[in-house]
Amino acid sequence: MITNYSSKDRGAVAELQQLLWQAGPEGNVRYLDWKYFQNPYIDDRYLVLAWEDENLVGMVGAFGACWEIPGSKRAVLPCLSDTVIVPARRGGPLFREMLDTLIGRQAADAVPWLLDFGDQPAGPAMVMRGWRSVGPWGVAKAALGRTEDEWDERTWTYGSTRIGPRSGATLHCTATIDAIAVAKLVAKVEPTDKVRHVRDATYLDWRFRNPLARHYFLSVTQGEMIGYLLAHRTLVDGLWGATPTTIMDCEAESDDIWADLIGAAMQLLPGRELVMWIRDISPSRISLLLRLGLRLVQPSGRLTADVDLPNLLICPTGATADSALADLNDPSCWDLRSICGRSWR
Amino acid sequence: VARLTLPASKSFSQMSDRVQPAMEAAVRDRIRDLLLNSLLVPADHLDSDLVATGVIDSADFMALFMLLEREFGIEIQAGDLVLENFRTIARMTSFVRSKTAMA
Repeated sequence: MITNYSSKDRGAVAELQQLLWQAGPEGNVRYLDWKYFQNPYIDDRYLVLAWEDENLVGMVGAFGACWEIPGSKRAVLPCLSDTVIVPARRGGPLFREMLDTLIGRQAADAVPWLLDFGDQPAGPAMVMRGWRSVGPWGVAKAALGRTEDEWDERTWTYGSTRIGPRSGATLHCTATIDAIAVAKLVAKVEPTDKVRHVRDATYLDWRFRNPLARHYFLSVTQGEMIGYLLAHRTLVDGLWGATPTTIMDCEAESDDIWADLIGAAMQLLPGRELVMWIRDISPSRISLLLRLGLRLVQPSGRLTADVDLPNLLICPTGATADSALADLNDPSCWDLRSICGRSWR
Repeated sequence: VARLTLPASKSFSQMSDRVQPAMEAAVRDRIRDLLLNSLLVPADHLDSDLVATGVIDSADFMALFMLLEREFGIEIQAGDLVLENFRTIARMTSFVRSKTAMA
């Protein structure tokens, strides 16, 4: 039986999501609340649960994400997330059945598209069922090669500064950041005629309250903010677990400041490996990544080899899209900087 | 389980009429074996429409693709993502044959 989420299901969801979220009963509830009840765009209406007798055996969700649409107002388009099925029910039609229910609900709400930035083992099946693949696209990686003994959390907890070797600017390492200043810089740098994720203070405030994430911030200020870098580690895996440290977003008024921010991240962040998406990053900045010692991993065109690369899958729900949203399944219409779907937990 | 060895010197399209059916049977049997023993498809479902019945769904496809690539030395690309290629063992056999013929 497939149902909507209701408040009585909170404990069952927390228990089921231990398979995915792995934060224990309290941590899982906090994450559920943050993602689906504190989200600034959509409530819990797209949480879909599958039951066998009294037991919760599966869940898919879609949380709200807001997009800047060229020539139009902003649009909220949900992102598929948190798919989990108990092991005994995997290998069957349950995922498809939950997904069909979710898509049907969105269509009834006149939401024309469902997006999926998640990990992609189910991607080929989704493409064969009518989803469009926008990617995959490449990533830049660097081994951080530091041990826990060599890393000082106080750098971030209490704040510290570094001088950028290229720009000469002062880089500030902090555990919090001024979301309004970030949003102001975003509005200034590189205007685009493509669909981009909204990065305003409302979104950033929400994103930074993710209870399963630890964020690290680098910023450069000269009167006002002229560069920032946002990095993420999952709390569940610990600081030195196998999960990569992710650069979620990096913007700067100049390439030199941008490179200094990336270089400082490589020197100062915890973790074994640093990863960032490189789709829509300019060629000059890709060159800077290589000069800084990052390794580029590009799509091969072979599905099984590219399964670990990021992707966006997009599905028409059947609802009529207005003209500004009609062509979102065209891969060229997207500017996907700053999203990084793998830094949600 | 012995790995199926395809002739290195000839593609399917170059083989004689007598060799091709034997190779097709070998491919079909190996796919059946993979579904049964690697993807753990129940034996009584092997001759069904594996997609319509949900026997192969979502993440199973990626596992299936990895097995087919490894076993038959083919590369599965985005353009190959058509459900009809993977509904039945017979369709998968035809798909593998077409990919090996192109190789």
